[in-house]
Amino acid sequence: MSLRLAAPLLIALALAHVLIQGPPPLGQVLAYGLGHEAADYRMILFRDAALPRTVMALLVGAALGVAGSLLQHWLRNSLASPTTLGIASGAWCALVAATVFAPALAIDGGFWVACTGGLVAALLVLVIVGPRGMAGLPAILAGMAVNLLFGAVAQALVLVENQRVRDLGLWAAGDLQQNGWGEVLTLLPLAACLIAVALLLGRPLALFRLNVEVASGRGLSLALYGPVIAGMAIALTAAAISLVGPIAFVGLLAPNCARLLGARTSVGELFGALVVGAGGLLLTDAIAASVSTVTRDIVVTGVVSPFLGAPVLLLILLRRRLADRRPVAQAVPVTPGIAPHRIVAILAVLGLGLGVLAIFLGRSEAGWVWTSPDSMAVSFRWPRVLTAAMVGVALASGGVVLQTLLRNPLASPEIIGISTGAGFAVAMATVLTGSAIADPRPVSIMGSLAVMCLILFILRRGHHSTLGVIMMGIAAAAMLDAGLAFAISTGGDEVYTFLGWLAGTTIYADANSSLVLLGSVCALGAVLLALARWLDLIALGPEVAGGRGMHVALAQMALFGLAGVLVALATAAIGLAPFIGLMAPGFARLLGAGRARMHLIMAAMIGASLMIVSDWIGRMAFYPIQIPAGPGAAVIGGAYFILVLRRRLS
Amino acid sequence: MFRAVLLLLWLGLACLPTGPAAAQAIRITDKHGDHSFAQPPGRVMALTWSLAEQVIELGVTPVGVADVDGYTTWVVQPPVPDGVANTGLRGTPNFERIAELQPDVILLGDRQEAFIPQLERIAPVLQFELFSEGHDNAETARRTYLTLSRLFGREAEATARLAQLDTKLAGLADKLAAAYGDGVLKVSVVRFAGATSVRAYGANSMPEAALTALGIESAWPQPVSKWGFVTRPVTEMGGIAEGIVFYIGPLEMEEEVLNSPLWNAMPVSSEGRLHGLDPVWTYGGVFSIGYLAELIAGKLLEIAPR
Repeated sequence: MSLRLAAPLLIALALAHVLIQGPPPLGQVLAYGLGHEAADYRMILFRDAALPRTVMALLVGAALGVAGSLLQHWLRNSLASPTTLGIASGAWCALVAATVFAPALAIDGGFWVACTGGLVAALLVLVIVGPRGMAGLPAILAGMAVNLLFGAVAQALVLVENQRVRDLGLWAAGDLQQNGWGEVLTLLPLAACLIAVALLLGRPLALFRLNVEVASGRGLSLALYGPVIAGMAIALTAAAISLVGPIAFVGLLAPNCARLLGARTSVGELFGALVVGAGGLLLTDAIAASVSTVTRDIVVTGVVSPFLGAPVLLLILLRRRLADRRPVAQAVPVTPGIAPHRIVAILAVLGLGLGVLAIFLGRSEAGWVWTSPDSMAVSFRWPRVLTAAMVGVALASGGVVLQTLLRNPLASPEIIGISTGAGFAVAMATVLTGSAIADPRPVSIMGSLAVMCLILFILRRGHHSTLGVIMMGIAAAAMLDAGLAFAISTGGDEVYTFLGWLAGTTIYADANSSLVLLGSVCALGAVLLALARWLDLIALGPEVAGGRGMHVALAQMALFGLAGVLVALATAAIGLAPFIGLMAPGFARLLGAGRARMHLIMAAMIGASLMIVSDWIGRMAFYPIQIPAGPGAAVIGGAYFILVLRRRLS
Repeated sequence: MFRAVLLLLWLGLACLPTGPAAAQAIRITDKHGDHSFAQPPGRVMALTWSLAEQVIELGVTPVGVADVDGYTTWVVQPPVPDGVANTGLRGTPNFERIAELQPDVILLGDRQEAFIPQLERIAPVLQFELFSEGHDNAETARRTYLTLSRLFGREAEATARLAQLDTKLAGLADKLAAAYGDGVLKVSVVRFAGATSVRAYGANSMPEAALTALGIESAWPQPVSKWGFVTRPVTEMGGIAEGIVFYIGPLEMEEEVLNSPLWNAMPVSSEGRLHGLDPVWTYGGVFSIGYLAELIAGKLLEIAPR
């Protein structure tokens, strides 16, 4: 894209953006330009609300676009972006936490808080996939998981401190409204410096894109440039987020659009991403501002962006310019020196023991008590523990299937959109019906099935399937965030029920529903076990499987459908429980699970135990207040990844 | 004579069964139909704040209220008596704790029906539809209060307290009329949601009910909504040409919200027509209207021209 085309386009968009906020009082603008005082409110509105909002949209769009391009250069990964690597989510979660626990810090040092959060998220992704995994899909898969992790933590904070969080305007994720030039002037120097430096880094960035080895051969110190580039991207993201909140898709789409529009060189792509980012955000914000004038409640920009971004993402997918088709190694099972059936027995005893503990050990008015079996408390607890266990089984076996089908040990149910799609459906039902639905389960099932149909459709399209399925997940997660922001901003008290479900609560479980869940999960699990041989064949690769007389496409669809239904059941029962579907299959590998059959059995047992513990933590940690299982699962997930890191280092 | 005796006998017999039987069973209609109580329940639990307020205002001390700490920060009035147990968050009640406290009746508000099957195992459950776009929230609050008074056998006290409330509201309205003279007073109530957005309380809101009772018109009318508020850009407050605007505390971002150039240029701010109110619950029961009216009238009298 040439400068001659870009500059007039941006200027036209910016002008349109200003005008859409209301016609400026031209006479007064002229008088003000000649040195007169701004007297009229309309003039002040133009000077202190409309103009700064336009400049803010330009700046934030440019910053996020450049951040996305930097990350995509650094990782040689066209799906890398502040959102897909979890950086935006980490920064946002840190800001929410700071606002709740140290409001003064959040107001004065918002940028540094956001930077820290983004850095932690990036490091976590690095820990999960290792330096070599950063270039391919693993980084994106891990990033989406980290994204959900921080999302769960932020949701738990909002759940407990809801009233306060809403009054502080934190719900307004991606709100570009301004009440003066203060925030623009905070962002301007930082963003301008970082963007200028990025544009000057054209040569090293181009070498990064070529190849790590080539770059080293030309004497480029990657050890130096890598962290610098990543740090700049994190700083740009944090600066934008600390001022306007998270805005999905800009960082991901802008560089890809720039390449689609013909950007060849690194500087060209950076510049193109800057222009597309700024222009795209101007357009999105103009839509948000216009819609807000006719709707009863404000519609913020962060709510609009996924609805524009998701179709563009799909369009890019159809153009097939996202050429990242690196083969991904399967995790090799470790042999711990104990026979697998012994490990299964140990896991079974462990799961049962934890189940018994979770049912009988609890807190009451009198402190910790071992509850008697015929007490009312136990009659409330066992359905919850059983539900938690079955959700664990469902997510873990779903995870095993997805990891095998997508041939990637980091694929997991929550990051391909089945559960986030369900969350989005519930959020939208809340918004559209004007009140939260009392029982989120039916809508949740519908949301999951809708996403599944889309995924099956993508799978039918052929060899770009893995990527398509993952992009589906990215889009669903962004839609969920948007729906959530909107539901919180317009909802009253009912939001509490909704947030509780979203973070994975077993509160809806009763004797009947838990027994139905037990029956359906066991039945589906049995079918999966019977089909375990298919999984083993597919793990060898589609060519080998086809060579052995297997109808690969059909088997894939059937297995995928089974896994999807399992995950949909789990999501409907308790909402989102991040990490279980990712961790349990990984743990099973660490314990030596090789063949699919053994992998399924071990993962299911581990998943059940993990969920029982997460649910128990949520019910006991803040007694008498009970929080959902999601945050507990997230904490255990963090510990798991540190374990993985220790293993990698040793 | 014989006829007269027969008539008297018949009358006496006719009166016999109705009198005592009617005193025995209390019939309460909630969102889901009729419920019958043999006697007024002693141990009450309110899992939503507005019902907790109404119970306390009946002179009944509940055994448990949802999120007591949150209530103390946001609802404030009437204070929760000492010793009332916390039954967990409003969205995730702690069933075990509730069962342990052995309530005689559990009161639920909007959007809590999913918990009914579980809670009904502990005690009878009554659910009330308190806030809806389809009814008058203030009117419903008054009706709910009277229904609860029948449940607890405190009709006389309830009628007296409501009369007291009406007298108080009328008295405040008179004082305002005296202080502000003829002409219509215009006031609106908002809550800031960050530095650039504001929740404006409009039709069907408790603040508007309080303003109406005080004989005040809205300075910034808003359409009917379920909870009585709409979220709008702060800039739209620039269009409030006349009247006074109150914002409800606590406002933690006071500096960011009220010191911007834009804000200072707004007529409502530059003309000194904006004032803060102490924390008060805007999604409460019938007595929250009284507390709102007291705060609003108190501030209005404080800033009255003379």
